[in-house]
Amino acid sequence: MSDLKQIEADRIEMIRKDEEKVLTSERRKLWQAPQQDEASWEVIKADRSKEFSPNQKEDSPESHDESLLNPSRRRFLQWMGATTALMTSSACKTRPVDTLVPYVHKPQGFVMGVPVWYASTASNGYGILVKTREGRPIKVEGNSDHPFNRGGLDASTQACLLDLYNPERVKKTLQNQKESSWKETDAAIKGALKSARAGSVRVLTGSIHSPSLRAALDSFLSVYNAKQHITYPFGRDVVSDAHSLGKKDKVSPSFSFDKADVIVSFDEDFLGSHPSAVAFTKDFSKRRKIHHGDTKVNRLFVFESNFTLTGVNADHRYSIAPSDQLSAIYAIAHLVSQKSPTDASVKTFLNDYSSEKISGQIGVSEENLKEVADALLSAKGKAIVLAGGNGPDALAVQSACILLNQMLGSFSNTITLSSSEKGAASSESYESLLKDAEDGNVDVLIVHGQNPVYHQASGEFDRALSKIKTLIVVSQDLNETASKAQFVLGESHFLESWGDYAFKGVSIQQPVIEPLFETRSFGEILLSLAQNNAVDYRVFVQNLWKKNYFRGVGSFDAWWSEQLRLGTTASSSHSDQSVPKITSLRAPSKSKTDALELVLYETAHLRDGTQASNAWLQELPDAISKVTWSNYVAVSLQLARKIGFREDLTLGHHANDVALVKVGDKSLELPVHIQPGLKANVIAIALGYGRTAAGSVGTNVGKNAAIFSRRNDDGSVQLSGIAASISKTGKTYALATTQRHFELQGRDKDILQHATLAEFLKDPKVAKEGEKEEKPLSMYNEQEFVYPGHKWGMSIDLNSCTGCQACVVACYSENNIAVSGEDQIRKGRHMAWLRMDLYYSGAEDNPDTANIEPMLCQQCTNAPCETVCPVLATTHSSDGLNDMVYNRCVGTRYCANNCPYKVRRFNYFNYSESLGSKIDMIDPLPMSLNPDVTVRSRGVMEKCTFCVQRIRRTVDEVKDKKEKLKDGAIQTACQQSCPADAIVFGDLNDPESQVSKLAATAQSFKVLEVLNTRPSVSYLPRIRNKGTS
Amino acid sequence: MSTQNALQEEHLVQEEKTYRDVSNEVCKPLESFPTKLWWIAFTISASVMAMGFSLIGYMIYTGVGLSGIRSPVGWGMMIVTFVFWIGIGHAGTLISAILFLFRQKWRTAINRSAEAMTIIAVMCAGIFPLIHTGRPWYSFYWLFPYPNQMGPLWVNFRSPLLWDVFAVSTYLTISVFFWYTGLVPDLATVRDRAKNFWRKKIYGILALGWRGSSRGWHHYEVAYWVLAGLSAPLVLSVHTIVSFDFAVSIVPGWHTTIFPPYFVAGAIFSGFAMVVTLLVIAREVFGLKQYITMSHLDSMNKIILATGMMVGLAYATEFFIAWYSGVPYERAIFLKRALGPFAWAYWTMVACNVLTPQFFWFKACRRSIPLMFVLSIFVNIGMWFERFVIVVTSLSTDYLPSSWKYFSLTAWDVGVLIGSFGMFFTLFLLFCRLLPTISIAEVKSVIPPKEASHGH
Repeated sequence: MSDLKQIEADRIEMIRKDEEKVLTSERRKLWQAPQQDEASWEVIKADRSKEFSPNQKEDSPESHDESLLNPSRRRFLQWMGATTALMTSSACKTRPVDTLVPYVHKPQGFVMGVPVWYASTASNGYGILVKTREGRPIKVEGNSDHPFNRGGLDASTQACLLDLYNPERVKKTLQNQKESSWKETDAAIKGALKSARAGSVRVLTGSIHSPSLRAALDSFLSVYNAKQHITYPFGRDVVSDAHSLGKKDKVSPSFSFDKADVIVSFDEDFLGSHPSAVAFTKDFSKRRKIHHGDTKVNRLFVFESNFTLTGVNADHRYSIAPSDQLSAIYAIAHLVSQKSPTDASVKTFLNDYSSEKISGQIGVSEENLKEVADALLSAKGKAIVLAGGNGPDALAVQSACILLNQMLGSFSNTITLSSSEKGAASSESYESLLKDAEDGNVDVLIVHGQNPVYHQASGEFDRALSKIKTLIVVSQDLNETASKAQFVLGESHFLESWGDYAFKGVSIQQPVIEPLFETRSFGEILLSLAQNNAVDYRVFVQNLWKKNYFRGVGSFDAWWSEQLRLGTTASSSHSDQSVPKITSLRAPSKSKTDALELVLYETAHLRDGTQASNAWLQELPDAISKVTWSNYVAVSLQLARKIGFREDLTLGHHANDVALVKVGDKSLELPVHIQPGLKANVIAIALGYGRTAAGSVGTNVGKNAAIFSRRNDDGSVQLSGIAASISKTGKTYALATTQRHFELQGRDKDILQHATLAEFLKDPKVAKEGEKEEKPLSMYNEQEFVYPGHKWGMSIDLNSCTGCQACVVACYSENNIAVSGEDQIRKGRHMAWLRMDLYYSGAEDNPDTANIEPMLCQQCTNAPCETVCPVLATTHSSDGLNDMVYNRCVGTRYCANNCPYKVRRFNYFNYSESLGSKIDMIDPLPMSLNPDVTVRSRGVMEKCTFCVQRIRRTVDEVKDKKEKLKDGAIQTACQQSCPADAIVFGDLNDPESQVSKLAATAQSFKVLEVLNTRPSVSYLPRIRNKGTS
Repeated sequence: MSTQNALQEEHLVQEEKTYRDVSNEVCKPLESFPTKLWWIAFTISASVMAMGFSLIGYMIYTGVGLSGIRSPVGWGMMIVTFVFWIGIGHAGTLISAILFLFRQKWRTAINRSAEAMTIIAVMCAGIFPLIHTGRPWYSFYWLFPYPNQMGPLWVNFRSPLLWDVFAVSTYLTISVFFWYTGLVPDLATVRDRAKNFWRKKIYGILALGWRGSSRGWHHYEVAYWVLAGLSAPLVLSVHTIVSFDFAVSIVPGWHTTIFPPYFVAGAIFSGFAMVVTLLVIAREVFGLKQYITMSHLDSMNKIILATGMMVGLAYATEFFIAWYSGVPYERAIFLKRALGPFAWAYWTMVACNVLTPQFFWFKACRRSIPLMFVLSIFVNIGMWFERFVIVVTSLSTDYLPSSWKYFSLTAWDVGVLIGSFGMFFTLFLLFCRLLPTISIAEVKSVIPPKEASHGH
């Protein structure tokens, strides 16, 4: 209050002063003017009498007063000319008039331009921090205090902002696909529920980890005497099925990769497409920090049929066919069993799987198998064996893994069983729903979070649907299932709704923005249907927490707000110390045939296809093949040669042959991508594509390969090892690929240094070229730039980086990077500031593995881009950045040509106007933009800025507080999101900073050091643990 | 006619010509209604030019992405064509200035049209650096150092693109002055012959009051000498500076010191080929065979042969140096040029630029109109591809293999490239129609005195 008074008083004082100024000048003029006029008149008269005497008489003295208000005609014309010239030159640009509406009543504790952060939980259980500006969420980051993801966050969760602001969301409710109000829809649904026969109301959901939603659902189920069915679209349940045999609750294994010295993975992409990949990466990479002085690194063996990110990170990678997966595990188990106490029956069973017999069949040498077994045996109690892939013997494979883990003593050491999915055991399966529906026993079906019409593309759900009277779909968008429903209820995004999540601790999900549309969360919908009076879902969640989690110290409200602030709470999941049972071991179901084996896999970004309408994720290249905006059939080089498939990299534009893939009577036409590291008889197709109702962005992107999935005899979903055939169609399709050449051409030492652990321990500089003594001659003025304050730098640990691309999406979100779309990427016009370069190493047809290198602007000291820009649009800052001045750039692209790292991106068209030309940036999409970063127009070059907006904000804050900048206080967006903590950013002028220390290590290298560009980004080489001998 | 003697020079003007004949014949296209042939040629080239400009307009409306440029090939057809047209211009300056300074009298019949060609080619070239930028509405003045309100914001004097701006604008200015100075006496002749009032007025103004006084001639000669002296170094400097766009960068395949002489030789090579193409047409269409004689064409073909071999030597030297340097990136880029995805472009270039001129070892070939017409066109195709090979192949496969990408032209690129030829021929046809294509005054000076004395 006193502040306001002070301001008002100041204002009045200022006005008074102004008035005084005017008055005094007036006064002065009043008594000075006559004299002045007199004098000047004399002079002018004298002059004029010489020159223009004839006209002299007509002129009045006033007209010759050369003051500002009374100019002569000549002076007037001079001024007019000058003014016109100046006006025209300064008014060349039309600036549209925009109206800013300030707050009339500013909310308390709110400062314009200062972000407000909220802790919450994402719908997949990751703890998140949401950055909001002026009430809008603009960035989602991992919460480092959350026990699950501990700071990192994957690409797809970060991309959820586009789902929130998707203009094509279901904005209210739909009745028979016509917009309706909640009141009418509620009434109609309640009518349908009441008229349904007893036991004929069903709810189909995915697994439910939210205690509050569980409670709401239970209350609904009891009111309507309904049943819950759970579906797992692509068979993730097989792992927990195998582990929960004979247990009451569903349990799933929880791996502690940070405790594991040796990890053997059979087709389980735990670093890539696994739903918990962020947490796994966090643990796994902790054991790869050799450059931080920890030489006790882990060792990863991967047997896989498809090339996955886990394979990229493997120390030893062996490609096998899906049908050989079980044999391979048995072969390892056989070797292990010989040196560890094992059941006699098991031993006899395993005798059929000696490495001599199996090695020929699976194509992995005996020595290699023995090496794996020896490594496992040497790490008893510190090993993890895991499998995935949903092959023909999915359950048997899991049992075999359990067996191996038991032999190695992994349970309760590196693997614990936890039951987090409560009530799942009491629910019924998806198959029983189908059966009941076909028998006519389902009147009302409520579907939430699932899209069975798309996932079960074989049509079994469609058949069941015709027998269901009322289908109600709760969904954010009008997906395939929703477009067949009588009622579609618009669901709120998780950033708009209350909730919670129980997985490695229970955490609260709090809304960070009012629902943008008239939508409700699933819990709200269930409660409003179950209870007659309106319920506040927040109160519901609060009461539940008061009952279940509040431990009665102090007031609940204070405890609750503390929980909201932290976004996490203590562990509540019941860990199960028992060891899982093993079903009887059985032989592989399938005998060897000549047929091709098809692998269907989920990708890390699209997963089951739910986020297909997300343009950032469609634009995000596949982690291995670098293909965007489509799926494809991956074939081996041998198979491609045999059939004559071409992936044309040389002539014309980049075009791929289109193949016809057949499984039984089903077929799909898909473009071919030649994937190194596949077995000759294996082909692979990504799931999650081919959505037919995924809005403007996701509809008809790729083909739906789920039609090929089958059910095994044991009930599990089969995704790999499906017998398939492939043939040529004669058509071509140009896949939009961001990288086409995957060999280093012998440039390893210049570009991507790597070594084995044994070599590295002997000499950390082993990956480098011979030491150069003399400083190379330089054509740059090496003294041109001095950095008096800070000099920003970055260090990237290639040994920790798994290539998950979380940083790429973080960069998109932080820096308003435009989505250029499939057609533009095909032409090589990808806009990502940060990309993941991938290079295979080893033989062309069967590479050992691959190395991944994040590539971003290297912020060179001797920057080649800076010297060539004719208009100085890219210049050097005093703290070592290459600044890009967008509004000075005329777009000659010379800088991009001269950049040896090719990290500069050009706006060939106005990309920021739309998302990949699929959907215009209409409201509310622009709300996702970061207001601190310029949105680039066409014709302008752009590139990584080291998140200069973050640097400036932190530096200014520290300066205001008169403190010294702490190392690590500034985090770039990529660094913050990295689950592997592979990126370190800081001040190179500070010798104590982590980045300086890493850059000073002997093994630290710079890309293309030979060019003397002196980058500020240094890399730490990739070290593969091939054993220390 | 004099008998042919190996030691005796051929006459630069064939048949017996009087001074009046020269004036009549050179001015004829200006003073008569254009022929059907001219109209057809003009209609076609003007429409092609219009197409080119509409494509450019469309690009300014939508974005420079209509062109085939991409990452990593940031420069494509437009820079290739820019260098191509600048190169074409060089022959004009060489013929008019350097041959003048060396008193090569055979240049008199062809210098006017060669100079016109220079100016038109530079105009064609000038369009491309402007439209190839992302924001041409700024680049046309932000590239000049002018006082501005954008803080103390200057241009970057270290950037070769800026040197280009100065080099090309200087070149255009000097060439225009030089050409116009040479035109003054002839414009006066046209004025004197004019019967129409407006014609008399317009050419009268253009002739700057030329009276043909001996004092006038004296000043004229001095001015012409000075301008020739100024133009001569430009022949070397302009393309040298254009070559710096590449040589100063760190792109493998660009970063070579051979570029300046190599570019100049290539420019003269392509320029002479273009002059041959144009003159073969012009002497046919405008009936100037007695002025532009076989011996002119013969001499030019000799220069094509000589410069063609210089260019060939440069190609070989580049390969040798790439190997000799021991730099793996240089070696890779040159191997890729010859054997990689752009081998077709590379071998097109070698075939057109190195093999084609070898025909000109033979006098019969040098004096065969159809052959030289075809070969001169081939040379220019080859020279366009030379720039394509330099610009595109180097960028498409440079340091990081992850960024390598093939480059292809779009329909827009082809349209604008053809459009620039439309502009070139439109302007050239207008020049032939409006101005004396042969220097009347200079040709009169090389008519053998004996014959000339019969004249008046």
